[in-house]
Amino acid sequence: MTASPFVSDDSVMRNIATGVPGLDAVLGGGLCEYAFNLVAGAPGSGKTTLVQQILFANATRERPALYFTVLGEPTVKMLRYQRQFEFFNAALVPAAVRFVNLAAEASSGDLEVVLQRVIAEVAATQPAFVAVDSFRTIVGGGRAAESPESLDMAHFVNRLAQQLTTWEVTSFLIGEYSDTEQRQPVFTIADTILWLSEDVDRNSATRKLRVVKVRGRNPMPGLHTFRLNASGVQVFPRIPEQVRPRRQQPVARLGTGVPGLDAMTGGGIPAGDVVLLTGPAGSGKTTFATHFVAQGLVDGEACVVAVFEEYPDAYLTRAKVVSTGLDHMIDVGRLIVTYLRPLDLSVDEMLAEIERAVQRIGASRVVIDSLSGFEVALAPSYRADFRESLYRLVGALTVSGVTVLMTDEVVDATPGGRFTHERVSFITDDILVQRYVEIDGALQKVLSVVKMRGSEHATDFRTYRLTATGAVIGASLADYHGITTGVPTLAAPARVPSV
Amino acid sequence: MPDNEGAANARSLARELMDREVNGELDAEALSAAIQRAVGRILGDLEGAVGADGLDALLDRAMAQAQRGHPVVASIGRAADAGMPLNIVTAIEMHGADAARAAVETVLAALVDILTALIGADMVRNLLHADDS
Repeated sequence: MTASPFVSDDSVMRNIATGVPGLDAVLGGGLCEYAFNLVAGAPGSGKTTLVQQILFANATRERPALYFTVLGEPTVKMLRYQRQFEFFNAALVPAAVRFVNLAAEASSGDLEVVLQRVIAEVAATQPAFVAVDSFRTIVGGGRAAESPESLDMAHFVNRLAQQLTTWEVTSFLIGEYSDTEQRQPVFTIADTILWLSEDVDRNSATRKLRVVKVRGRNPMPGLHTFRLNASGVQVFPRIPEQVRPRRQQPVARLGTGVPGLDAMTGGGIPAGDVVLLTGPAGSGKTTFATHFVAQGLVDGEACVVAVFEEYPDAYLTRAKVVSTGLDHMIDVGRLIVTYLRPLDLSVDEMLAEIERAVQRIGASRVVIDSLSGFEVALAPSYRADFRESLYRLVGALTVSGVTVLMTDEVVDATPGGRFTHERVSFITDDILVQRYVEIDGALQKVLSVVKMRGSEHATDFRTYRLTATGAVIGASLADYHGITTGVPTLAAPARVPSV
Repeated sequence: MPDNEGAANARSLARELMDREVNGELDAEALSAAIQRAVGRILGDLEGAVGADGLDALLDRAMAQAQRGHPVVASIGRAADAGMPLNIVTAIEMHGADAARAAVETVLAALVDILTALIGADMVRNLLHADDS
C-alpha cells in the first residue's frame, strides 16, 4: 500500500492533504474525504491546474482518479499544457489518473445520458477521486426537462452528488461562473466551494482564492493570493493578525554593530523588537542595517535580509564596506539575502518568502530594506492597505521572537520635515531617525533615538560619518539649539558669574 | 515534420501494438479480423481519453500524413462506427491483408508521431497501454 494521503484521521471524517502549498491551511486542514467540491472562477483563473495538482498529489493505482473532460479545452491540448507543470507525472496517466472524454454524452444534451456514463465509469474504475472539467459545459449544455425521463439540472446535480458520495469518491466540479450565478443548484449542493479570481490593476495582475464554503471545517476567511508557476499553484494564506506575547523582562540586548549606537539605545536593541530606521536618501540607512546584520552574524545568529531596491549581488558588494564575510555566511547557511521585486507581490507572498528563509536557517534577525521598495513591489491593489499589511507582516515575524529592522526613506529632510512616516511608526517599538543638518556651512549627518519602547535611551542628536569601514557615531549636538529645523545654532556659553 | 528518430520510434511502437493482436501465421481472413481487432482496441483506448472528436482530428491528420508515404493508405476508409473508426475492408480486398496491415501500421505510426509531438512519448505509451502486459 502507498502512504496515506490523509493529514489527520478520524473515525468518520478524514482530511485529505491537497498537495497545494498553503491551501490546506486556508481550507482549515485540507479537504474532507468524499466531499463534493466546486472549483469556480473565470476562464484562465487556474481551476484546472489546481484540481489536477490535487489529483496528482493524491491519486495512486490503488486509489485512482477519473478526470472527465467535456466540451471545453480539447483533451490533447490540456494534457500538453498541463504536463509542463512539475506536479504532472505522466507515469501516472492513465493507471492512477485516467482521462475520460464525455463530449459525446454532453453533446446529446441529455443529462441522464451523461450521468449514466459517469456512473458506469465510476463503477468500472472505483476511483477515489473524480473531476469533471468543465462541469459548466454539461449543465450549461444540458436541456431542462423536456420529457418525464429527462433530468433537470438540479436533479442531475443532486443525483451526481449522491452517486459520487455513495461510491466514496472525493469529487471536483470545475466550472466557469460569474459572481451573479451563485444561485445555481450546484452551489447549494457542493460541500466546498473554492472561488478563483484575478485582480487586474494597471499592469499588475494578482490571482486570488476564496473559500466560499466548507462544510464541517473552519476555513481561513478572506481573499488569499496564489501564484501559478512551474510548480503549479501555491497559495499564500492571508496572514492572520498575531498578538505578540508580553515581553519577559529582562530581554537580551542585541548589538547594533555601530560603535556608539549601542550606548544611545541603552545597550542595544531589545531582542524581538521592531526597529524603524528612517532617513533621507544617502543618509546611510542600508549601512546601519548591514552593521546590524553583520553584528548578528558575529554574535552567532542567523540573519535574513529582504532587499527591494537592488539585486543581492549589488547589495553584497556594497556591504563589503561593513563586512567582507557576508558571502561566506551565505555559503555556510547563516545568511540569506532575498530579493523581492516583482511589481505584483502580495504582502502574504512576501511574508511567506521571508518566513521560509527565516525557518530555513533559524534566523533571529530580519532586515527589510526598504519599506519604500516594499511598497512599490506590492501590487497596486495591496498598496491601499499597506499599513494594515505591514502590521500583519511585522506581527507574524515578531511573534516568533525575530527582531526586525526596517529602513524607510523620508523625503522631507528639511526644516519642518517629518521624522517618520506616520502610517508605519505605530507598529514599531524603536525608532531611529537620521537627518541632515547644516553646521557652519557644511552638511552633516545626525542621528537620534526617537523612541525605545520600555527602555531608557539617549535623547540627544549625535553626528555620524559613513567611513570606509562603515558608520561611526560622533559627537553629541547637545550644545546646539534648533537641530530639528535643519540649521542648528550653538548655544551661548554659560556666563561666568562676575565677582 | 517528424524527425527521423521520432518517426522510427513511432513506427516501432505502432508495430509493437499491432503485433499484440496480429501475430503468428494467419490466413487472410484471420489476419483481416486480427487487424480490425487491433485497430479497434488501440483507437478505442485513445478515444476514451480524448473523445470521438479528438480522435477524429488526430486520425484526419494521421491519414493525411500517412498517405504521403504509403499508397495503400488511400484505400483505408473512415468509418462512423464507434469503436472502429477505420474501415480496412476495401484495403484488404484491393491489396491483400499483408499490405493492409502495413498501411494500418503506417497510419498508427503517424498517429503516435503526432501525439508524441503534442503530449510526449511517455504519455502516448501510457494512453495506448503500450507497456501493459
